[in-house]
Amino acid sequence: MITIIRNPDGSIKTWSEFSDNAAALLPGESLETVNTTFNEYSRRFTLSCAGHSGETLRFPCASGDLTVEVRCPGESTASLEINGVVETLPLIDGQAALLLSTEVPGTFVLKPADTARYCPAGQAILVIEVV
Amino acid sequence: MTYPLSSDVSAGQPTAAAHYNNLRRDALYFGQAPADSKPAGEFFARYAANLTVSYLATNRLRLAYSAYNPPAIVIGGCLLQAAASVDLAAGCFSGAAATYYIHAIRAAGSTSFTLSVNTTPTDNDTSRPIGSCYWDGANLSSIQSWYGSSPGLPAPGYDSGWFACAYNTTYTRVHGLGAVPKNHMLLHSASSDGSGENVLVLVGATTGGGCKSLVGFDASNAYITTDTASSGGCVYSRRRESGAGYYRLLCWI
Repeated sequence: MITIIRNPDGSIKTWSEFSDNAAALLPGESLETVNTTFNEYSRRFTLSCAGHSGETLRFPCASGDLTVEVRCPGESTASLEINGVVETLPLIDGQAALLLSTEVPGTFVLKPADTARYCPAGQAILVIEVV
Repeated sequence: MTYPLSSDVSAGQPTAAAHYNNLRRDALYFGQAPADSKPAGEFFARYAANLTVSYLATNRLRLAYSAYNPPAIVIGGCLLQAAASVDLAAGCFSGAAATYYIHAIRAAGSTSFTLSVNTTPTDNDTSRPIGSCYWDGANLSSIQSWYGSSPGLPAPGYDSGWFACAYNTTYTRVHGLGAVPKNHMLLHSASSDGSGENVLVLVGATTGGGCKSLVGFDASNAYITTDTASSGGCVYSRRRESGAGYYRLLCWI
């Protein structure tokens, strides 16, 4: 059993391995319990690149295209927000690959677009800096 | 310095005053002059060792016995040593949340001792406080052993478990310790099961440069406000930078 905290707008703020206390809520936030494991819930939506997730990655400029792996088990599509722009990817066996160019220096911030369904935290945010 | 001062007395040899006084000095002062040494009884009056208190279900306490390191304490000048684990009786905690002090209790006719708890650290000829714990009104936590034998850091009074984090967000965790923790550790993991390297979180990165610490406490809650940079708002370290991942907060009181 895990707990989920939602923001006042319904988006998921976080999920916790141990039960959260209602006293931990900020005004407008709400608490839910879900009968699953922390790891299982964490794998609902993950983004990774070069085998890494949950941490910021840096690649040199002009080092070739980067492949971001999107995993969303059991789904046929996944909507990503990439630097504020929403892109929907078709999934095969719950997975898709997204290519990012390193031709121009900058930062890619990738996260789920539907934040009421998938929490933009944990391994569902991926930041890649091209330097 | 000669030790011991006293010597064997042969059969039939009259015991001189010097024999008695040397023997007394050995017993009280380890053979030293009274001006140079505290009497043994005073020196050991505050002795206590191997008194590691642990949790015993439900809402009880146990002082575990070890034949190699038996629990021992001096109370009211009496040298007491447990011959088996000493358990606190059931039902000793009730009422409102409070810090309870754990006492070793001496009774006449016994060379061992029992346990009791009280909200005041009573110290007299029959009772010595040996630790503390926190009663939140329903459960025990933060058990502290003042004379424990366990080396290293005691178990934390609060463990948040892993929870997902993201940059520019405030997380409130209810530690329920009843006081601001004396120590804490915020760990960051890039994987949900905490495998791989856990990085100690000291600061997060601020958008546009710089960094700030993230954690605050009051007597009830811990507050973690991640910093604003998407690239390092959750952890900004030479070991890892991240604006997401997972936190685990450990607190000691």
